[in-house]
Amino acid sequence: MVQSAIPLTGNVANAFRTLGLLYMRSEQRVSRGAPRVVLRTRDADGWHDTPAWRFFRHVIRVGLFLRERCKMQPGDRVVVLSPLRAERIIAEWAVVAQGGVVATLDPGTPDDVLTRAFEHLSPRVAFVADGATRDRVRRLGARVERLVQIEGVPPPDSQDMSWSAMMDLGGTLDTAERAQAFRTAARSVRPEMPAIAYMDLQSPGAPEWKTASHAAVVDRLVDLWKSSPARPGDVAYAVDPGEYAGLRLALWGLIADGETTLALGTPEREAFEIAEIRPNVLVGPVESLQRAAQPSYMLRQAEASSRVVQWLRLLTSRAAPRPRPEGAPAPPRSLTLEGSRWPLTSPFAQEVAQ
Amino acid sequence: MNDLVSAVVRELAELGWRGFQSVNTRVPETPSRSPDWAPGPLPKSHERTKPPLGWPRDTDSLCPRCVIDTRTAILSGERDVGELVTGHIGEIKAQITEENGRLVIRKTCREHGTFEDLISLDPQFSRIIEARYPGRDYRTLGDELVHRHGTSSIQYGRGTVLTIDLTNRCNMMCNPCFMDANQVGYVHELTMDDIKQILDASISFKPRRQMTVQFSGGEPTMSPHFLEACAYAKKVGYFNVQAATNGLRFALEPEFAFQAKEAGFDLAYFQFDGVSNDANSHRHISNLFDVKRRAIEIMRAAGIQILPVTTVVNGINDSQVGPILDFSLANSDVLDGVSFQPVSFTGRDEEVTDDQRRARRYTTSHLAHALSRHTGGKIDVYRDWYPLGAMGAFGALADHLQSLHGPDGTSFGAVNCSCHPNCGASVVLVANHRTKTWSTITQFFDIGRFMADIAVICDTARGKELSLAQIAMSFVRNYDQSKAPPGFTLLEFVKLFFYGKMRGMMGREVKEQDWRILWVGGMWFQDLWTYDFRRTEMCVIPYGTQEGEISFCAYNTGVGWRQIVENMHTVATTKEWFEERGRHRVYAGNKAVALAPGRRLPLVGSTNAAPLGAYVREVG
Repeated sequence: MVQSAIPLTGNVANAFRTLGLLYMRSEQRVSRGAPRVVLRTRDADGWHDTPAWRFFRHVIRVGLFLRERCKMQPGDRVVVLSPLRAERIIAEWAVVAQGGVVATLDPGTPDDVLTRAFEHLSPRVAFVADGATRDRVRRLGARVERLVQIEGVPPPDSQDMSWSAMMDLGGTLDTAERAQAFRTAARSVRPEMPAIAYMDLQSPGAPEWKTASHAAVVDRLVDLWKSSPARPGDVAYAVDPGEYAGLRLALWGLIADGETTLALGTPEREAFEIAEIRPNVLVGPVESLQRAAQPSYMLRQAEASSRVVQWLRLLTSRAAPRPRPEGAPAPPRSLTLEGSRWPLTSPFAQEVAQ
Repeated sequence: MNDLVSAVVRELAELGWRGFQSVNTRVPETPSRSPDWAPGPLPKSHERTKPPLGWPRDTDSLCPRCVIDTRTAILSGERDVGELVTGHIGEIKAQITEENGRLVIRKTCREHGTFEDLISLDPQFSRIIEARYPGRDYRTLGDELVHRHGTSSIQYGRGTVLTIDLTNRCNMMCNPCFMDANQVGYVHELTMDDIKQILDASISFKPRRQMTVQFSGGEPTMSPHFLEACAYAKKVGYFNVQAATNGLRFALEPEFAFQAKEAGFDLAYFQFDGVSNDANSHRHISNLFDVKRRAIEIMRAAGIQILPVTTVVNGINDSQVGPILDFSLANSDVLDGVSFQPVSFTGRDEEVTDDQRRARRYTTSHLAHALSRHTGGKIDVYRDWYPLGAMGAFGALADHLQSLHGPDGTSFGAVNCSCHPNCGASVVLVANHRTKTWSTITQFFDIGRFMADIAVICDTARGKELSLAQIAMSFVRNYDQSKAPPGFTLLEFVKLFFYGKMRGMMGREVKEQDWRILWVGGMWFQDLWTYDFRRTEMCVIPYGTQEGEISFCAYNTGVGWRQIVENMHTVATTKEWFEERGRHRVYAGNKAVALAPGRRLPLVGSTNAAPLGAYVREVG
């Protein structure tokens, strides 16, 4: 993870070419630094912080559950079918740190696409957002050995497990010896092994599934860090990246940069939340950010200052999607927006925005 | 020259104090303030009560055999647990008397005969300790739901350390073990909701006080909730979060130490039985001392304070008392002293034979004499030891100073250890972690007179300026530069005292300095043979349980609340637990713990003035 005194450079990044090693480096650096909040999430009671120690410990516990109870091996696929939330990011990190291949899907994915995804991936485990999503996956007859339901509790007669029960078990599994075994496994992942599976939205017809290796993913993250190094106290606000794999990786980069606190946004409440936390980095599909930046919406719902409204409008107007030729497949109109560093010159940002 | 200046300043302070008090003590005392956290006005010194002290004296105790029989009957369902609350099960009278130059406790059960045990091998030492006890703290108020354990209920004081057993699982197999960990056949482990409820309840009544919480077990770091519990305790206002730990987790997984520190973990109450692998062999890990050193190195790097804790058993490891003191002095930058705990025959040791018990009995008086011998009299048996409850005087001063802030003062009372003088005694040292120079504080500072001065300051309860002026005069008049260790000055002492201990007692950040205050204590827990209900009712280190707050000794021994609470709240048999949740590693069988290669930080740096004792020269 990047520390302000030791910026993450390409040279440093070469030393850890897998997400497992990146996880360990992040854990070490963050643990030895000043206390830091990694994630912020909001519910009706307000913002809730996930400090670094809790985040990294939860990743270990999910990883131990996958290793010990689901017998996940390097190369095994794990589907995460959930909107953006802390548990999703924790699950993603746990999978890749242990050499698994994570495929994150939006719960709004149509039935046929979802069915094909499960057929193609044959995941060992699937994390599903809630009971309805779990029912849907079961109804579609998806082939998956184990389902973990993030919100709510599965029926007692099912083989499925709730997130809280999994964390409870993962907590018991979390002994010194097993946690070190987790780290040993993270070290053993090789750069050329696949890390993520994603739908190629640019392919004609039905989206194709592709994989990206650990080395490729880390390269992307290094691009991001080189182009816009994190600074102490950075707060990023993330709108659900939906199907855009590039944006999802951007979130990983912000988690792992050692400085940034990543606030996970709530759909339809972006303006309110942005006004609350005043981030200096925004991440999300541009259309979501544009919606959030509507002056009337901001002023009415979030009581945001005119300065914030102007700032958001400036950001989103410059990042508007390019028109696409008629009949062409929809491009991944995702974007990372660096509020404090214009223009958008990051190779990473350019690539996902084109 | 410095000594001369210091002597002049001291005399001036003496004159100032006497002159001021000639007026101050003739003016009526200012009524004590009633802070929100307290059940009433801050008590004047003459309002503090004391338990019956001196000897011969009678007290209420327990028949070791009746108690075990009753506990067994309760656990088997033959008798109702309510009898412990409403009855006087196993209670008998005991006499504490001086015989043949020793203090003994003797009691006779009509059914099981007479029991006798040693309280002190030096009545003069015990007399001095009792004489230095400043008195009890408040009676508790509004605690009916927390203290509800019949004659074992805590009745006085605000508590100092709340102990919470997170789990009875352990990764070692020691003997002795308070709780018979891993052997009882069931798992008693708190949920996070249990932990929150216990922590909340303990600060729900008055006096609401600055309290340390100490997570214990079993091995508390094996609880899946350890880190969350640390974080929650800090969040709700506990000013110091400790864990009674064997340190294996930290030695084996360094990241855990850093994460624990980040979560709010402050101090490891660190199981530490001796300064060689041989001296730790009774813990059944062949390289345990190496493991301990690794744990210390890692915790030091993580910024976790460490207080070694040694259970001292006569004939087993009593020879380690001196070397452990040396070890603490040599590492005074990272160790906060050492807590010696003379053996209490509980848990697996309750079945000890009379002969074994006599041979292994070790008391606070044994400790005082052992340290005096080891240091060539530098720690004096009669000058330097004070009861643990003497800290109450400093707590009273902290409360008085806080109360001067009026309604804006703290919502918590200061730390106040006011336990029975027979519960333990301690020596306070100053040590320079760079030069390794050290001394007892009582060598150059008249703590007894300072405590008396504090009583005057708190009793007269003048305003802020006059109180601070009196403290300054008292501090200077009781300090003797000519007897202070080389390099130590009054200024250093003031910084240590006010930026260190007093700030700590008020729950504020303690500043790092070359000189440090080290606490060397003897905490003598009761067992069925030495049991004294007058001690139980004044306990300041209660256990927080699902059945309320229970005196440390009533929980671990006494009527044996531990077994009862654990049986009432067992979560699984050990077999079921292993099947459902996996087996945890237990290090035993005299095998070595595999330690990953790592930096081997020196535990002893170059020293200008090495502490006494041979060991420190071997370690470096």
